[in-house]
Amino acid sequence: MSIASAADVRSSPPPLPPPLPPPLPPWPPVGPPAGGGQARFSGDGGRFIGLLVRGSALMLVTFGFYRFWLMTDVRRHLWSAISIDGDALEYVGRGRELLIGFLFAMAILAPLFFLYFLAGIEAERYRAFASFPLYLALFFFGQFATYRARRYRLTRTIWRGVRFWMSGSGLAYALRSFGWSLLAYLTLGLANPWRVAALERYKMGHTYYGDLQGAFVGSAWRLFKAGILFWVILAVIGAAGVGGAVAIVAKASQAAHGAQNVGVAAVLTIWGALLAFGLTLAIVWPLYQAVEWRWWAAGVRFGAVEASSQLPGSKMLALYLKAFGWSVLIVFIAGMLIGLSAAAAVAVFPHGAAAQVKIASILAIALGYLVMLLAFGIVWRYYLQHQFLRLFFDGLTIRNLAATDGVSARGEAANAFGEGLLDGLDMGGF
Amino acid sequence: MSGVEANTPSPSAGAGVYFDGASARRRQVSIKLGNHLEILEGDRLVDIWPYADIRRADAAPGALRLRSVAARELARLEITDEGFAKAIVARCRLIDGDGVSRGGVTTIIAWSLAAAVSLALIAIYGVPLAADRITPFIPYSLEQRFGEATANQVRIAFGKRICSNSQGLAALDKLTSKLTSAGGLAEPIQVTVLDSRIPNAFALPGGRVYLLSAILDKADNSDELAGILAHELGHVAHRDGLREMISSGGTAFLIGLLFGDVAGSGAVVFGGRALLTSAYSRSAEAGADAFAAKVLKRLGRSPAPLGEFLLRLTGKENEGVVALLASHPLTQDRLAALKAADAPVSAPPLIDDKEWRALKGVCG
Repeated sequence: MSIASAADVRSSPPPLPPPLPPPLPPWPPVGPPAGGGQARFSGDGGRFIGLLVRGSALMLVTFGFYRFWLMTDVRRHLWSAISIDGDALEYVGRGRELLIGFLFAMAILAPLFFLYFLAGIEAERYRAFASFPLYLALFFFGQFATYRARRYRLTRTIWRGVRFWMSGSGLAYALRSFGWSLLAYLTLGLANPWRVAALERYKMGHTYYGDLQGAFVGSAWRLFKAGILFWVILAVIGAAGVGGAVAIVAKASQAAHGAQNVGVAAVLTIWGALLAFGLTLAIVWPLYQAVEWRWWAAGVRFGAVEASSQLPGSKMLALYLKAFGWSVLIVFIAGMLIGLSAAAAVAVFPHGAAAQVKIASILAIALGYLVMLLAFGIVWRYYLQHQFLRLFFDGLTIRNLAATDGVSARGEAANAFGEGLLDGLDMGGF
Repeated sequence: MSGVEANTPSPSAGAGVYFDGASARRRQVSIKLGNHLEILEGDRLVDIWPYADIRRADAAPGALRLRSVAARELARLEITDEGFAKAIVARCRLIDGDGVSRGGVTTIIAWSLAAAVSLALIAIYGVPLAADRITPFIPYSLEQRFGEATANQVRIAFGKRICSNSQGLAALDKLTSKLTSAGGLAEPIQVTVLDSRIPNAFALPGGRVYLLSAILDKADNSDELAGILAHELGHVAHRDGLREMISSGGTAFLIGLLFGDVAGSGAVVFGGRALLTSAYSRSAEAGADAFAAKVLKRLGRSPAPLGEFLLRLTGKENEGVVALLASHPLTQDRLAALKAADAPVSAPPLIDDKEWRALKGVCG
């Protein structure tokens, strides 16, 4: 369970099974839906936090091995809280499967990491940090794993007694993702809408609900237009920061005297720009996320079934700010606790027993650090998964749901190899 | 929330929604609780589920969803009436018969602890042992490659400027060749002085020894520096750099892989590894000291100045976290061992005064 960034939730495909159908107003009335049906999220936040706290404590006790079961519990809770047309989704994956997938993945990853190590040595011999391109290989492999993991999750997702499933090849997906990501980086993100659209077309086009094939018809150009303002804002701030720093440095080379002051000014400018960039990003990112999710929902198809989302950007922003606020608080508390316990260790073992103090301090720091990470995980899962899904599904309208009536079951449950790979590559997500 | 019309649920009959697992069709059914659970659509019997086969499936809060281990894998029966749901649950002994029960969690904890203990044992005892056994089989040419890879990073970390005053280097060469021939080192040794304000010296795999110039500044005489150099040559002779590389690489590999990204244990693993390798280094350091003492005695010089110099550089074993993590800790044991190895001086200094001054000015 890496404390994956929110970015993972987005850019790796929609973590969830594609939402299905129902029509009607964004905020559904309680009670049985009339006619078409409605998406709804009925998760109990208190119970979810309880589940996370218990799971995190078990993670600590089991040196992290409990992650397979925690991940499963989280998914079971979230999936069953999502109902479409009155019928809740069901997650039928189990922790044992994830463990087996992980062990299989280790069999592949162990020699691979060894080769990676040797290749890294050869590259470093050539020039320091020349091994960087190897990270690209890892990225490629990670994309492959992402696709395979999605297949596992999808085939464990049941609605009305019929499972979702997926064809396509992890390799083909990884190639596409690799090329498009490269393009997106080279264009500083301007090509990102085309990347996202192409990858969604591949994923959704190979996704099925029973014998009903999915598709993605979202237009990259529309996403581009919806997001360009955010990009321009960030670009302006970034350019101003870089430009300012360059100008100051240029001045410095003209007037050699007082170069020290100018150097400080350049550093301050760069830091100021970074801070401004970071703060702006913290606001712009959630807003853009809302835009992209709305665009995604509008582009997804299952046969004639289509959806639209009213996910409000302001509420998305509020979620991120809450998660951020709690994270800051956690860092603060953890820092205090680590300091206090170190002080206590010194007090308990006054002079003469330095070794005990050292060991106790190291243990306190290690434990405090782990607890802090677990607390981050809880905050992240609660706000950016549980509460996000509430926001998304409560604001989802699905049309032509009747098209699912004649669907027959198809597709087999896939193994958890991809999940294991992701876990071994430090990329575990949902 | 489905159209359940059972307004007065009796314990033995009620309404439900049935999904047959073959199609997505939502079927309103009535349920009879007889010897078995009977599912009826109108008057037609759709399926019969023995109570012992029935298991609970995940459902929305407030609803009961059932599956049967003998029926189609994804066939589901959903009941929303609370009273009727209770009546069914009461009849199904094994309704929560699978999944992670309390016993399951205990099993997970027990196996995790067992795995952690065996991993720790392998990391502490197995890996160093394996490194000892593997090291002799690594050809020296490969070791040199490893060293070369690290060397590039060393220069970035400790300064790019290589000191190259020719007289100084000549003195260094003389000192080095005396020490290597006395130590019986056959492999090519390459000693480099880097311009740095950190007083340190270290040996990389493949016979690459680095002296940071501040250590030259701090040395009072050629014996002190000769001791340091001999110590590093000891690491080369024992192939400690390679062994440590294999050892720490193996530990990281083992723990990193198995724990994956577990709760970001990376940093903790790193910390633990630092502790482990510093503990390992202590024995390697003692071995290098012994090598230095042997070589110096063979050349008729005393190893005592090495101990004094180390003491001056690092102070007595410091208290606090840093000393525990320091990879060159000067323990009382090492100091005592060097003192015990003391021998009367029976030969002139390894390099004369003029050469010593040239060596000190090698970065000039």
